[in-house]
Amino acid sequence: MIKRFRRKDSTDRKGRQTDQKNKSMTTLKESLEENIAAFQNIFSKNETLIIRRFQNKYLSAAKCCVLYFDGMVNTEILNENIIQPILSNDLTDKISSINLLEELQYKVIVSNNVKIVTDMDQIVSSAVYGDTIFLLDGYAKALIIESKGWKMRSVDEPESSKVVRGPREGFTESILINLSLVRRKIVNPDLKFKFREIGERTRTKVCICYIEGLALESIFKELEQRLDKIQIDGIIDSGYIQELIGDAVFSPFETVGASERPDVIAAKLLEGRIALFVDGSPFVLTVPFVIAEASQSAEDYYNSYIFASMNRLLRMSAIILAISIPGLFLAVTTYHQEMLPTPLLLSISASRQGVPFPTVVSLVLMLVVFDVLREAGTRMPTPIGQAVNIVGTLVLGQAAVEAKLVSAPVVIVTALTGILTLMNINLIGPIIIMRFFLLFGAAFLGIYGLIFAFILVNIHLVTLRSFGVPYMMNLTSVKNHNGQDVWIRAPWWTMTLRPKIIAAKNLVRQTTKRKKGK
Amino acid sequence: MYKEQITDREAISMLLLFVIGSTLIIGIGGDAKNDAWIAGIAGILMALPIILVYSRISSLFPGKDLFDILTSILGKVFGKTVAVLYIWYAFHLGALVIRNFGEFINTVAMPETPMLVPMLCLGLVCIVAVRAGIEVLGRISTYLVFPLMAIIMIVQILAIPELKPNYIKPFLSQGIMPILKGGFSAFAFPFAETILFIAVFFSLKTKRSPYKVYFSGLSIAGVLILLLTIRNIMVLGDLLGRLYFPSHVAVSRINIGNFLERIEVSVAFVFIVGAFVKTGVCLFAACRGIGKVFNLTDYKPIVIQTGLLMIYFSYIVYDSIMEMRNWAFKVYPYYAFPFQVILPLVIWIAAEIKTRKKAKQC
Repeated sequence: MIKRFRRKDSTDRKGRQTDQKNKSMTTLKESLEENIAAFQNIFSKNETLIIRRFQNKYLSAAKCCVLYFDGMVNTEILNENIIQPILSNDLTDKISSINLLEELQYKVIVSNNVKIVTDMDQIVSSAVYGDTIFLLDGYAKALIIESKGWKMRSVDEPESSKVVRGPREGFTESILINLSLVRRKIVNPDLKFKFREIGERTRTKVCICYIEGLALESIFKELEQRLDKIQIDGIIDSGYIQELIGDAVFSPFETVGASERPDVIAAKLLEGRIALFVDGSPFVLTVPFVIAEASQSAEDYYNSYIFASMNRLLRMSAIILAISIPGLFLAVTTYHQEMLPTPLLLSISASRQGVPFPTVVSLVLMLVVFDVLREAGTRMPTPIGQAVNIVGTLVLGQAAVEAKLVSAPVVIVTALTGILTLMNINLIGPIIIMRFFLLFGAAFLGIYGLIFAFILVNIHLVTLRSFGVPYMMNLTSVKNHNGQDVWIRAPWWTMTLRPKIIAAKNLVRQTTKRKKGK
Repeated sequence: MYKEQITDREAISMLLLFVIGSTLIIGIGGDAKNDAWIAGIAGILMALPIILVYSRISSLFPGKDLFDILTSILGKVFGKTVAVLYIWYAFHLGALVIRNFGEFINTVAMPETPMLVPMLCLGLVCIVAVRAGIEVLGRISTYLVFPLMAIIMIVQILAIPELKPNYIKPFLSQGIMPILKGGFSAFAFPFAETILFIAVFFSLKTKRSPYKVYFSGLSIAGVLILLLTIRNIMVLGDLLGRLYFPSHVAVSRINIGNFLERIEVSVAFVFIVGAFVKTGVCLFAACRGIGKVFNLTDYKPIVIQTGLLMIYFSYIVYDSIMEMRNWAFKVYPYYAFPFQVILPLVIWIAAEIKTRKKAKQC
C-alpha cells in the first residue's frame, strides 16, 4: 500500500520539478538591460530583489549592475569592496577594456571568492543563497561574488545536552559554522566533506562528513544511496532526513543518531561513524547508530572512569526499570501478592481501600497524566511553568490520593518511573511505548505476561539493524574490546581498539598500551 | 537469498536454554528419589557418545540441515519418509513443551484461567521469533542467558540455609536399577532431545563448531541441572518424587529475614525463557522440515500455520497433568528412543560410508 502511494507521489513531484526548470532555462544575453529583465522575470513578484545599476565615471564602457537579495548579503562588503572600487577609481589607466569582465574580477573587485559563470541555474541558486550577481554590459557572463551575510545565532551551549565537565560549544543553524566546529577538533586532511542538495524546493545543503580510512565504504555507499532516494520538496530540520534514511520504518526506536555537540560528533567520527550535517539544523546525524549509544553521555568520557561507569550503569538499568516497574508493580500486587512481605502487602491494600478503580486503570491514568505534564512542560513559556508544576504536583498527586481516586503507591510508582525515564532523554519515546506494552502484558497474565512482553520487545530489538550493524551490538559481549563502552566506560588506557563492525577497517586507536599508574 | 548465520556463542546459549528449559521445572530422574542426582550423572554419561554422533553427522555436512542430510544420504523417497518422522518428532516435542508450560501455569499460578491462554501466548511469541529467523532466536538466547544464569545462581545461594545435607543419604538405597532407569529417562529428556539441533547447525560458521557447541552447551547445562537436582533433594527430601514441579516448591521455601520470600516467580522466569527457546527450536525444525519435504523456497510462510497447529495439538495431547507426568517419565524415553538413538546411528553409518566413497572417488 505504502509503496504504491509513494510511487504516485513521486511522479507528481517530477511534473512540478520540470515546471520549475522551464522558468529558469533562459540564457544570458550581451545586453545588460535584457539580462536584468530576464532576472526580473525569474524573480517576479519577489520584492526583496534589489537591482543597483552604476557606472564608472572615467570609463563609460563599464556599465554594471549588481543584483542581490535584501537581508541575505553583507552590505558592507557590497558597498566597500564591489561598488566603491568600480565607481570611484579611474579604471582607464589600469585596465585595457578588451576583456573588461575578467580585468574587473582580477584587479578591481575585492572579495575572497569570485567566479565567472554562464549557467543560469547556478547563478539563480547562488543569488538566493546570499551571493551577489554582478552583470556587465556587453558580456553574456556574470560574476558571482560571495557576500553572504545574514544574521545567525552565536555558538553557545546546547540546551538539549548540558555538561558540567567538557566543552560548552554547540552546533548552530549554519552548516558552515558547524563544519568548522568539527574541523577544528579533528585537524587532519583525512577528514572529508561531501556536499549535496536535498529538497526540490528548499535546496537544503547537506554534508556527509567522515574520516577516510576509518569509515566503512559499504556504509558510506549505503548512506549515499538512501540520500539519493529522497525526493521531497523541503528539508527544514535534520529530523526529516533522520526518518527518511532510517532502517526500521515501523519501530519507535531511532536507527540514526543525532547530537547537538561538536565533541560528540568528533568522537563518533573517530570511531568510524559517518556524520551528516544539514543546513538549518543544529542537530547533526550519525550512522550507524546502536542502542548503547543512546545512553552514552559526553561527560562519561571526561570524568573519572569509575564515576562515569557508575553513571552509565545507572542509566542502563534505568532503561530496564523505567519500562518494567509499572508492569512489575501491577503483576505483584494483583497476581503474586505472596511475593511481598506481609507488612508491605497490608499497607498497600490499606491504601487501596476506597479506591474505585482497579490498579491497572489507575496506573494507566497516572502514567498518561505524567506524560501530559511532561509534554505540557516541554514547550511551555517559563512564566506559566510554575502554575503547571503546582497543579501537577499538588492537585494531581496529593489531592488525587486524598480524594481516593488513586492509591498512594500508584503515585509513587508513577513518579519513580517518570524520573527514571528522564534519565535517558534520547529514549523517551520508545521507553513510554514499551512501558505500556509491558504494562498490558502484566495486566493480562501477571508476571508471565510481563516476561512474554519483555521477550517480544527483545525480539523486536534483535531484528533491528542500523545500516547493516545490529542494533543491540555488544550488549553481552566483553571479548575483543567489544564491551569497553557499553555497560561501563572502560578507562582510556585500556580502550586501545575501536568498536568492531563499525570501524572494521582500522581498529587500532592507541598503539602502545599504557601500564597502570605510569 | 540472505544466508543466516549464527556464532558459536549464540548456538551454545540456545542449546543451554533448550536443555534446561522444561527440565528445570519438571525435574529429572523421578524414579531414583534421593539418588536422582546420580541418575543425572548417569544420564549425562549416556548422552556423551550419542552427542558425539550428532556432532559428527553435523560436521560431515557443513551448511546442510538435518533434512538436507537425510535426502542426500538416504535417497529422495526414504530420506523424505525419515524427514517426515523427524518433523513429527519436532512438532510433538514442541507441543509437549507448550503443554508443560500450560499445566505449570494452571497448577501453580492461575487455576481459573483457561489453559489455552498462557499456551497461546507462549506459542505466539515463538511464532514471532521463528518468523524472524534462526539468527534472531540465537541472538535473543545470548541476551536472555545472562539474567537467567544470574537468577539461577542467586536463588541457589539464597537456598543454602534451607539445605539439609542428610536428605541426600543413604546412597543407592534401592540398588542400581532405579538409577539406571532414571538415568535413561534423563538421557531421553532432555539431553538427547538435542538431536533437533542438527536442523539448526547448518548456520554455524565452521566445520568444528558442532563439537564445540554440543559439548560446551551440554556440559554447562548438565552441571546446572545437577546443581539444581541436588538442591531440590536437599530442600525437599522425600517429597521430591511426589511433586509435579519440585523446583517451584523448593524455591518457595526460601525465606530471607521475612523479607525475601516466595520468590518462585524467578523459577517461572527461567522456565518461560527455556520453554520459549525450546519451542522455538522445535517449531523452527518442524517448519524447515516441512519446507524441505515439500520443496518450498522458504519456510517462513508456513510458520504461523504450523505454530497454531502446534498450540492446538498441545491443547489436546493430554487429558490431565497425571497423564503428562506418566508420559514424560515412563513412556517418553521409549517413544523417543528411535528418534534419538536408532535413526541417528543409521544416518551416521550411512553418512560415513557415503563420505568415504566420495573421498575414494576423488
